[in-house]
Amino acid sequence: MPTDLSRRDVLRLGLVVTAGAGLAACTTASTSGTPTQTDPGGPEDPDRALRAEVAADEARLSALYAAATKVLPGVSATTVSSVGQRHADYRAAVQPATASTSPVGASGSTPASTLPAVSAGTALKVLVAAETAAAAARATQSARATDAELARVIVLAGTGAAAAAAALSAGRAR
Amino acid sequence: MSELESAVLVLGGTEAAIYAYGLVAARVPSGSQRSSALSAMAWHRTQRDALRARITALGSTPPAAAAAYAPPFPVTDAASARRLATLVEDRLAGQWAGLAAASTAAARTRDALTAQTCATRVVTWSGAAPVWNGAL
Repeated sequence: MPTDLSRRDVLRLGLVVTAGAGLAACTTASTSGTPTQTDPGGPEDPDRALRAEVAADEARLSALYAAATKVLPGVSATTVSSVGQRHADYRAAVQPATASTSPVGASGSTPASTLPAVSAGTALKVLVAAETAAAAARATQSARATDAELARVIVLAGTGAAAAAAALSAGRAR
Repeated sequence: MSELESAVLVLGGTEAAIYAYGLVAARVPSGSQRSSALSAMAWHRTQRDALRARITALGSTPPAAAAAYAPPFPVTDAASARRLATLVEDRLAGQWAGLAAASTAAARTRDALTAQTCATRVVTWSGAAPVWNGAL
């Protein structure tokens, strides 16, 4: 296997992740062919709570990446930061600006803004664990979505989390 | 897109992936990479069989696989073989995500996890390796 992972490589891997988010952000129509009748995230949206939950989870992951990059050296921080960037994209995709921004995730906790003083290796392990948990969570959360397009975005968020966990694990293994 | 339409789309992608992995297995070095290719091929065959059953259960007849598939670029060595594997898994991850969205809640989680498996293989075949190993 090749052994160089450039930022471009990481971003390419993120195609699985970000293409869906970008598309999702541009539409509010259901893939089942039934237009969404309510404002996504609005008071009448049956997926309002789910959107808030997933958005809060993604916000927490963004915060975790931000904290991790502070303890990683130079190029590693840049690369890891690019891996984590998609969480902001998914947060925006699942919860439009008009929706509630209540920062309560699936676990009921608020987004983390700091990471205790840890080594770079520990920081990566924390990210791997967080991405692995996020992948599992998105798979189950997607089943709760009423809107098919929201479901697709959540599924793609899960694929991105799984891919990130694999990429970060590969880094840890070397 | 309906669940049936999505399932047919994924079936087509899966048939292509099975064919592609035959090319990949022939070009990557023997050992772990060839083993990975053959394992992936077997996994996709399992998914294919399940998809065919699902399409039948949805009231349709699964389309037959093509006799051959033309890769989007020449597969002449291990590098191009890995690129092909990356491409087919990347496409399939998106297709499975589409099927998950069109599925009932009961099937959605399973389809989502299948998409994740494809996405993980994208990482494997693209040769993702660390630049941060020095930090560990």
